[in-house]
Amino acid sequence: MISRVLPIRIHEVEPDDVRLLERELGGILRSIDFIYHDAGVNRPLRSKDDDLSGAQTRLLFRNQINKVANSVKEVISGIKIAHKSEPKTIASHSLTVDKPLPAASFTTSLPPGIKVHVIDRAKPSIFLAWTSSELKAKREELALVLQKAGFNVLPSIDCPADDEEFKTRVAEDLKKCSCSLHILGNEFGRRFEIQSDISFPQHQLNEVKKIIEHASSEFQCFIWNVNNPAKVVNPDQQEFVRSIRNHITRNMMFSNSSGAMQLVDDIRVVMMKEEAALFESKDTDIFFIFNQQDESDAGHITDLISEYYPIETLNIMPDGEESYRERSSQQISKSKLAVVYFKYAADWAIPFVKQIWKEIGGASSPTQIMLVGENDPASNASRVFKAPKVVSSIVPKEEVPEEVKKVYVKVVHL
Amino acid sequence: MILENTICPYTGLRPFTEEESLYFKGRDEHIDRATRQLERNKFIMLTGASGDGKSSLVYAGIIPNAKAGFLRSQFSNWAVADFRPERNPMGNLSRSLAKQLRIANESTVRTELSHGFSALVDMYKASPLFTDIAYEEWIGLEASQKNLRKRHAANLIIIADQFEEFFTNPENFHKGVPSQEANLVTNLLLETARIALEEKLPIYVIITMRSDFIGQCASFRGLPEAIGFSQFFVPRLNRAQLQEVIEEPAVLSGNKITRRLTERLIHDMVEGTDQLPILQHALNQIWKMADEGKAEMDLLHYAMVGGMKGNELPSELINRFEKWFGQLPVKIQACYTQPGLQNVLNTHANKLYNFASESLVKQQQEISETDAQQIIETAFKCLTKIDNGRAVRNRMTLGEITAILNQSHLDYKKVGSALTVFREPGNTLLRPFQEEVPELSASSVLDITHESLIRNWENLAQWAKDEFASYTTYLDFNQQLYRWVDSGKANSFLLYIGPLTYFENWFNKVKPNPEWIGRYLGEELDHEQRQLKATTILNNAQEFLQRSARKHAVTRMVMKYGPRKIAAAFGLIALITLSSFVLKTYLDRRNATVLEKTKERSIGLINNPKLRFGDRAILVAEQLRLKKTTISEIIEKINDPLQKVEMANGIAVSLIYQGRTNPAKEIAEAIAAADSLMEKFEVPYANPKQLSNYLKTVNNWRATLGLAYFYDPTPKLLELQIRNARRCATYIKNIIEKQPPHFDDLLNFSLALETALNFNAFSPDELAKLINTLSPFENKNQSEWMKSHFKKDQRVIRGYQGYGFNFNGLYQNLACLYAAAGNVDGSLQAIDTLLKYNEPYYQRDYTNMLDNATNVASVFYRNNHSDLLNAFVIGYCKIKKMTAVEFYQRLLGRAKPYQLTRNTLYNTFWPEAQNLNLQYGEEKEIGFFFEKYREAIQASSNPDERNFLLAVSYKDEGITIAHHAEVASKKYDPAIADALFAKSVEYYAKVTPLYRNEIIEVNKIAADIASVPRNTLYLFPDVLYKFNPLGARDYHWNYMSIRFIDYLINHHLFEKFYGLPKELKLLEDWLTDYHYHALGGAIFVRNHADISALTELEATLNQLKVDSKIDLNLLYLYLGYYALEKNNQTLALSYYSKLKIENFGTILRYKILPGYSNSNSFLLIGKAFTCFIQNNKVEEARKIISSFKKPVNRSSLYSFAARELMEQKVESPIVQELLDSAGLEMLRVENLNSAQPNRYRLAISLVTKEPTDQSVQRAKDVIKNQPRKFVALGRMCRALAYRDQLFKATDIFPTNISNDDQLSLLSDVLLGYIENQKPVEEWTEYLKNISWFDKTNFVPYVDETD
Repeated sequence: MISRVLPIRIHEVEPDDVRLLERELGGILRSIDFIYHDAGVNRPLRSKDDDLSGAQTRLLFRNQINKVANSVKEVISGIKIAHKSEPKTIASHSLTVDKPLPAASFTTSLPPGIKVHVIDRAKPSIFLAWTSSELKAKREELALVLQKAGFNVLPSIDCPADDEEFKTRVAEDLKKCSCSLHILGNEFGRRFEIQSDISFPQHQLNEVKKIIEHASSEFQCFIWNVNNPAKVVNPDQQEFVRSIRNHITRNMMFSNSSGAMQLVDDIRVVMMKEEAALFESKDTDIFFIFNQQDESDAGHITDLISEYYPIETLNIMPDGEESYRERSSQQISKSKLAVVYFKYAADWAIPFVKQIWKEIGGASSPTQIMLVGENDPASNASRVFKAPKVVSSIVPKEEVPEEVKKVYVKVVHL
Repeated sequence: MILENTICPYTGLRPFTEEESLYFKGRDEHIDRATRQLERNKFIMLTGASGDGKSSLVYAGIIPNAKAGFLRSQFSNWAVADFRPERNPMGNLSRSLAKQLRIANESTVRTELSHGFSALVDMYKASPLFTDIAYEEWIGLEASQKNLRKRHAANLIIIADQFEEFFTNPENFHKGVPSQEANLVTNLLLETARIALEEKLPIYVIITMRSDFIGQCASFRGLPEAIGFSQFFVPRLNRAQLQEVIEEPAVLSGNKITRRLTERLIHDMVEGTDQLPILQHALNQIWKMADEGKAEMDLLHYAMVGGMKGNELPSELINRFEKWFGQLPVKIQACYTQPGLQNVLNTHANKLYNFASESLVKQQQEISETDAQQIIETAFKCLTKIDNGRAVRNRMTLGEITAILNQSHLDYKKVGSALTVFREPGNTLLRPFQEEVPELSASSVLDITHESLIRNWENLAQWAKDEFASYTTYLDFNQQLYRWVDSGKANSFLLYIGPLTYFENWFNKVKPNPEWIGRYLGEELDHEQRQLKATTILNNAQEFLQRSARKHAVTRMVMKYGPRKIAAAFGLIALITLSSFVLKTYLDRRNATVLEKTKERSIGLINNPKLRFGDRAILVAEQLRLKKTTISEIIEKINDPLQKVEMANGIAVSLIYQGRTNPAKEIAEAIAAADSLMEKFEVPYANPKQLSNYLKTVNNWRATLGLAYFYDPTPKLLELQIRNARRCATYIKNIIEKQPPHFDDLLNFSLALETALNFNAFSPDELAKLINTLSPFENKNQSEWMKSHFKKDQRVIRGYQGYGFNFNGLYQNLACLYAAAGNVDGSLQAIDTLLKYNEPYYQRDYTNMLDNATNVASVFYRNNHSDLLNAFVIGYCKIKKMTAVEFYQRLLGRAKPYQLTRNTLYNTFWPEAQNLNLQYGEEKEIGFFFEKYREAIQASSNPDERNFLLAVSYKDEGITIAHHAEVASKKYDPAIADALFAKSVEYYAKVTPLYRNEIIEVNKIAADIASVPRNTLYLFPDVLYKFNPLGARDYHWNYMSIRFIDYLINHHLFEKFYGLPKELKLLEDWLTDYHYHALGGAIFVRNHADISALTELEATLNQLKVDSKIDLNLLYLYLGYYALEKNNQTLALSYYSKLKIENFGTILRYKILPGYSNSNSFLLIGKAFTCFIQNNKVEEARKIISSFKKPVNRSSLYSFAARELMEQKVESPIVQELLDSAGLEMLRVENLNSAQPNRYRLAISLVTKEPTDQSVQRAKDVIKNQPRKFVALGRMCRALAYRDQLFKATDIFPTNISNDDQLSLLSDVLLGYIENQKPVEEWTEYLKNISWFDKTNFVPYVDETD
């Protein structure tokens, strides 16, 4: 079966499919790319394609390519059936390549040979920072709790006495971890011999902050403040804590949990998010969504639009088997414009747009949504939704394709 | 919603709405899980703590999800019927469903739902929202038609939000038991979900409830199982989700929030309740402070709303904060105490409170700061209450708050303005929000947005505590007050000086007014009742304090001035006061004075339209009996013209109901008054509600006149009926002509039309015009008014509470109109439409039970078209596939008179469900239909059938005529009935034994079919119709007259007909039926049987020596009873001696209306028992007593006998012995929680025996804590009045009772007083037919079979 995989790539294969193929091949997929960029490739053949102007005078390569593309698709489907027992999932918050890339780049084609670094989410390693001596017992207790909760806890040795060795150890162990936990109490902790204004705990946190500051870092930093209110807090420590609280950045968490259990539970929630299913989606210009009630009208409109732009469509059926929310939001992020069209289904379209808008990040979403309704029935006139990154318009049926084109052009030129 | 940048993505204290689902974040996973669960189970019970966001999860989560297509279902559209139980769960559910299912008439929905179980599902299936895609018709449809249908179809979600209101409102849940209504609504919700799951219907049921009520759910049948099947406990948010709650709304709306602020907020959150509301509120305030989201939300803004101390800010921000803070007014700065997340709400509310008067200046309102703050304090005190030690919300109207505030210079508008600041956008702490209701009215209901405000605003918490302290002092005071009032305001119960000073201080500080007291009087009373009760309490309280103060005046004076100075002056004043007091007391206590006062009170109550109409009419009747007032005086005192007529009508009906034709003068006066008042009506066609009231009045009047004419068929009454029919005709013509917009009272419209038709009130031209306008068969271009009012499938409920029948007013009227015009085809065509749109309802119009085509037949007759009747009946029978014989059987079944007319006054049972024309028809009309019946019978080819039915018909007609003559006091000629009986016997003789004994089926009890030999229909010695229009209860409602039995005895046929045991058994059945009617004569329009005929029957049975074959106890008891009525103790004893006491069980175990029938048996037994006692037949009496195993019944019997003897003026030690025995048996009752009616009887007898204060007190002790003690108290009043103790009778009225109760007690007093007066001839009949429920001697029997 593997030997039958075509060495020519004539279609933009899904990243998920690429991984699948590579697993089957036992190596990297090397192909001769022959990708035919024209409207309508990513859709089944239509009989009227043959009637397009000029079709009489030239070979309809598109048809041929399409046929082969469909064959490829079938081969892949066959492999998928064989691997049904291994569902593909991605972590929704992870920025590994498993996640669809932001739509701003408008391409998801994988450069061949990329190796994927996957964090072992089943058992993440946590850097449990060395503490001031008053909290040593607490740290040990916490280490046990963390292990019971499914974490690898580093460093596993006692805090080195030597400044340099301490620094080296911290640097090494941090590399192995995907998150860190720092326990802060009333005492400032041991200071470095040369830089006496910096404590050991402070150094560890500073090192972590350096990692976090890196834009693509997913490293998480947890700080647990367990000061004893009955005792006086060291002024340096007070200033240190205050400074932390006033300079918390992304991927930092400052906790005052009442116990180790609650704290570790919070950490686990952040580090071991449930994974969401990945749906098939493709790069496209326009993603056109409608409700089953408007199926026939939508078909007519998408036929016209597809003359000009690659288009993906989604028909929302009341009793459909699909997870429409996830499917739509994943496909929207791979499209330049998402169009939600309605004629009779206004009662569906507005709530749908709202939910999807929220799902893809609202004002911060890279993809614009266009809500377009026909002006017949007349009650549609008031069915608009105004929000950042949403264009809403009600037009006569025949103007819908033009209106979509207009908005598309505007969006692309932005 | 148009989303602008200036819209705050944080909602503050209130839950998220569907519109705001855009910003509802942090719960995505929960929404998905709950949605999937709902999708799978069709039912979900969402529980969680207060403030956990249950409602938000539904309205901003599940619902938008479903509408967006993320909940897999049958259709794309969604209808959401949501409701909160509040105090009226059924009404709220019906309203919401009516709207969603597009049913204009909410009451139709309510009626339908009242059947429970599948009722809701059936309504959905019948609504335009549902299309059955599995149905054959669907499969055959074109794709376009399918699309069209699907477009109109919708899935249905029913949401019962805040289900805990089922437990927190006494209307829904009292003493651990749910109300009927609460049970019904729960049944509907659970059954709907169950059926939806079973039949895969797109219906979903969501319930939200606070989890602390979960234990109480076990009180509802099926609910715990449903919860076990599909519960969703709203999870607490984890850290990551909290982060989403804080950050995502900002990101979505394009605003920014710093990470350090997020972390600070999460850090500052405290475990426990109100986490989310407090967070949302703080975020809302922070957003406002950050220039409405234009600046990045940061720690600075958090400090500015009071969340953190300024000196904890990063150094670069400290200066900015201090500069800003320094510019704030001092009183606002003072609000920033103890900064912290928990304190943001407190700071915010305090700022509003301190700044309220300044904000009023902006509204150009001048209210002083003190006033503004007093308004706010009072309003928030009103809007909270302490429930089980917790301060909770308490809704109240602005009007009520203003009244409690009770400051003459502050009207509701000013109070509303002062509260505006709490309703403004951004300060949404009070509902309704200003954007929803810009200007509050007095009736606007105010409510605190979320209970977290009560817990977190320190001022409010303190106010609630103060108010609660005030309330507990009030309770304490009230207890003392109650004791004093209860003691008859005795001096010995006045306050001591210490408590007096304490309560005086409290009183002066709180200044309670009726509104304030009213708020603590419990919610079972309506507003008016509460006000009245509160006013009484307040008056009593003031009197109590004053009199207590007076009592201690000397002490206080001595304390103030010293003893010597005042001694001299005091002596003289005391002497004067004391003498005048004694004189007044003497005067007061004279009966005449009491009667005069009673009259004044009665007139006040009679003139109160909010009280039960029937009760008012009865009180008037009692006043008339006493000749204390006149009809004209009563009517004079009523202001509203419509009320005047109603009262005249009410008096007439009450008198006719009981007195039939007497007192003739008063009846005539009431009738004349009503008629003349109605002649002066100017009908308000432009006012639909008034028009409807006018129509109802003429229809009620029609019923009264029908009854009056039945008893007394004078030309004058006939003329009045015709005049009223013309009145109806004029109304109808005008309504049709004017087609008043919004008039939709089709029930009264159709009744009036029916009246007009039955008395030929329309000319032929007018009839033709009416038909042309109304009939869609004639007029294809009907007006919009006609179309909307008379849809083919529109039905009207004719009757009460879903009883009676549902019918299409127009088509029924059309059938009658065509009949009146002599157009058979038209009439049938109308009926055809009726049948087509007919649906199986409870009593089923045009099906087996109530066949209205018989009404139409009567219209043919009354409009002189009897010749066309055959054609109509043939046509109708063809449609209905029945025989003409059956048709006439049904018609005659509807001609049995029942006394329901007076019930129109009470609006109970099924007014007008019967056909008045037939029920109160004249002999001629009834005779005509019997003849038509026999004509139909003659068509039979089977001679046996013919002869048998003819025999039955002649017997029935004879009995009907005899009955009418008996009750209607007309001259009765036995020859007419006897001639019919003779014919009957003649035909019966021709029937072959084989045919007579053949087993047939008869409708015995509703759907129950009994198999009996055919001759049962004949040998039952009364009218036993196969068709009974009233259904189940008819089983025992067959007695009409004894005349047929009398005929058989007189013609020596009795033994021939009743020789066999099974034939004699029919006599026993007849006796039972007689029993059902005899003591409730007024209700059933029956008389007691002719005693001589009954005596003859007894003699005949005695002669035949049949008493071993049938149970004749009832016969002996009645004969004994009649003998006692005539004071013939010896004769009574002779009957009673024949009683088979060991068989009493038979007459005490009736299953139909057991409370009525068995108690009546008990009463008859009581009479026998008394007779034995009176005649010193100790053994027999003891035998009767011993036959009852329950002490409660024995006690009742003793008390009953005591009172009976006292009524007969027997002054013997035996009375005391009986009372002692009753008391002893009372103490033997083991289960004190079971019903103890004996206590009422004993109390009455005690008071009758000795109408002294001691007896009254003892009687009160006897009935203490009894559930129906008010009824007993009424009877005690009656007993005291009977003993001429009118002052005492009125003096034992409890204070603080409703007007309705006062009305009832006054009636009791007057009734008792009259009972002991010399009987007045013209009122004898009235007294005899007094309502069964009011009988003094009614002895409730307690079932002994358990």
